[in-house]
Amino acid sequence: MAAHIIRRLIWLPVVLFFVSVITFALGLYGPGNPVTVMLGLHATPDTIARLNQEYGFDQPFHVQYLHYIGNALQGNFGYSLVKYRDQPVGRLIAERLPVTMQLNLLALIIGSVLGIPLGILAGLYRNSWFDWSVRTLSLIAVSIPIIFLMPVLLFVFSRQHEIILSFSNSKFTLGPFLPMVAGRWEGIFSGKIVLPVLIESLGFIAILTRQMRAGMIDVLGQDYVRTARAKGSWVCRSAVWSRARSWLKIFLAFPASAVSRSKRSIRASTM
Amino acid sequence: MATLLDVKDLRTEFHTQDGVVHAVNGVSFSVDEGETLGLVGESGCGKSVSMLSVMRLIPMPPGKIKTGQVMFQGRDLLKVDDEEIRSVRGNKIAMVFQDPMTSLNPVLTIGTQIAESLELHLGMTREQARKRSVELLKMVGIPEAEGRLDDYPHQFSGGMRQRVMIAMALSCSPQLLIADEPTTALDVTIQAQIIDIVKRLKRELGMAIIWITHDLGVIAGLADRINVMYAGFVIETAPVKEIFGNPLHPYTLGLLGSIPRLDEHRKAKLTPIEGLPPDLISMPTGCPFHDRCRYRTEKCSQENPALELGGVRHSVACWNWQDVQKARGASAA
Repeated sequence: MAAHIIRRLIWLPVVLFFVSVITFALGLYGPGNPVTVMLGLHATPDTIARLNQEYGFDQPFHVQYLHYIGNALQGNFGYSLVKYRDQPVGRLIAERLPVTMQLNLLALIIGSVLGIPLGILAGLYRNSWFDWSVRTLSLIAVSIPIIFLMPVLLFVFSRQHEIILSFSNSKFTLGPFLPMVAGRWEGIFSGKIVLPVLIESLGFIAILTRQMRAGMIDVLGQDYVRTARAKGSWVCRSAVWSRARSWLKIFLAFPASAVSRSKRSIRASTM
Repeated sequence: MATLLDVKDLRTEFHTQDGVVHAVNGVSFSVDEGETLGLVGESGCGKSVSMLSVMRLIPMPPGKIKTGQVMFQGRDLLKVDDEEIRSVRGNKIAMVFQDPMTSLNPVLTIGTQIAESLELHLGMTREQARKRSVELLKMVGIPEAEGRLDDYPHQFSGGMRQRVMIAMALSCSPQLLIADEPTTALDVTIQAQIIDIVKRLKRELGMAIIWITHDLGVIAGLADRINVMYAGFVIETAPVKEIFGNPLHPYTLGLLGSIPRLDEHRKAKLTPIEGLPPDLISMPTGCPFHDRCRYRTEKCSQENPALELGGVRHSVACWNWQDVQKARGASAA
C-alpha cells in the first residue's frame, strides 16, 4: 500500500503538467476571448491589437504557457476580468477556499455516513422496494444541479419563515437556518450552514450510493464470496470487507472530484 | 455404516428470462460416514447445483429449491434457519471449489481466510487460530507455512491455492467434504498431487467425501461408490467397480466408451455419444436420454424410468438395462 501511494505521488507532477497544458490550450483556443470581455463587442481593431500585444496574446503557445505556469508557480494567477475587476485571482480564490473546503468536508462526511450504508443495503437487497427507491432518489439527486436546487430551496424557505409544529402548537423559526448572504461566513457550527451542506451532501450521497451499490453487486457475485458463505460466514462480512479496501482508492481520488465540485459552487456563489 | 447425509427428492430450478431451468429434478442419494461418493456427469447435468443446494448456497433469486429433504445429523438442512445452516457450513460440511484462482478473496491474507472458520466455529482466539492455520498449511504440504500466512492469494500458484482451499475446508474437521471439481482447473501433475493429499487426509481424518467430477479417470481411484447424473437426474448408482465393470445405463456405457482404457484392445476406437444433452428449460417427456440412446424403445419416449435395483447395491434408471447388459456380454464374448 505504501509503495502504491509513493508511486502515485511520483506520477502526480506528470499528470498535473498534462492537465495544465490541456486546460491552458482549451482556454486559449476555445470559444471566448479575454480581450472581447475587457473591451466589449464594439472595440476598434486598433485597440484590440494593442491589448493583444500588451497581454502577450500574440505570442506563440509555448511562450504564453511558460509565462502562465511561471507566474502560477509563484502564486500569481493574474487579475480578474469580470465582477471583481482588477483584483488578483489568487486572493479571490484564497478568500473562498477555506469556506468551500469546510462546506465540502462537512458535506462529504454526511454524504459518506449516509451514502455508504444506503449503497451497501441497496446492493444486498437488490431489486427490493428499498433498492428501487434508493436508486430512483439518487438518480433524481444526481440530476438536479446545485445552481438550480439552491435558489429554489432558498426561495421556499425564506417565504416560509416559520414552521408551526401541529402536535405542540409551538413555532419553529427557520431564520437561523437560512444560509448566509455572500461574505458573511459564520463557521460550520452556525445554523446557517444547514441548507448549503444539505444540498452539497445530496450529491455526495447520490454518487456514493450508486457506486457502493454497483460495487456490492459486483463483489457479491464473486466466487470468493461463495467460498466465504461456504465457510459459514455471514454474506455481507467478506463482501463489505473487500469493498472497504477498494474504497481507500476512491477516497484518494476524492480531492479531484472535490475540486471540480467547488468550482461549481464558486460559480454558483458568484451568480 | 451409519448414514451421514440423506438426500431425498431434491429439485432445484432457476427462473430466468428464457424460462424455468430444471437443473435438478428429484435427486435422491445418501452418503455413509467415511464413504467417498463420486458424482459424475457432463457439464450442466446438475452435479454442482445439487451439492450447492445441499449447502443452501444457490443464489436465490434466480434459483429456487422446490422440493426435497436433506437429512444431516437428524435435521433437515433445507428447513433450518439461516443461523443454523451457517453453523453447519464450513464446520460440519465443508466445500472446495473448482477454480482456486477466483475462490480466494484477493484482498485478505490467506492466514486471515483460514482463521475465519476457526474463529467462527471453534471460538478460537486470533493467536490460537494462527497456530492451527500453520498446522493446517503443513498438513496440505505448503512449505515454510509460518512465513506464508501473511501472503495474499496472488502470491501462490494454482496448485498451492487449491491446497490452501483444502486446508481451509478441513480446518474444523468436517464430517463431510464436498469437492466440486477441485482438480479441473489444475494441470495433470498438480491434479495427482491434490488427489494424493485428499486421499491421505481422508485416511487420517476419516471424513466422508462427495467428489464432483466429469473425469472418470480421477474418480476411479478415489471413490467407493459413484452416482452418474444426466439432465438433473441420478441415472445410475453403484460401487465403483460395478460402474466400470458392469455399467447398466446406456449413458454410463457411452461415457466409458468415450475414454481410453488400459485394459482394452490396442486398436479399439473410442465411441462418442451422439447428440446433445436435452434443453433443461423444455425437458422432453420420457427418459431424458432417449433420443441419444441406442437401446431406446417405444416406452422410453413416453415414461421416465425410476431407479430400480439391477444388482447388489446397484440401481439404474433405464427401462432396458437388461438388454444393455446382454448386449455388452455378447460384444465382450
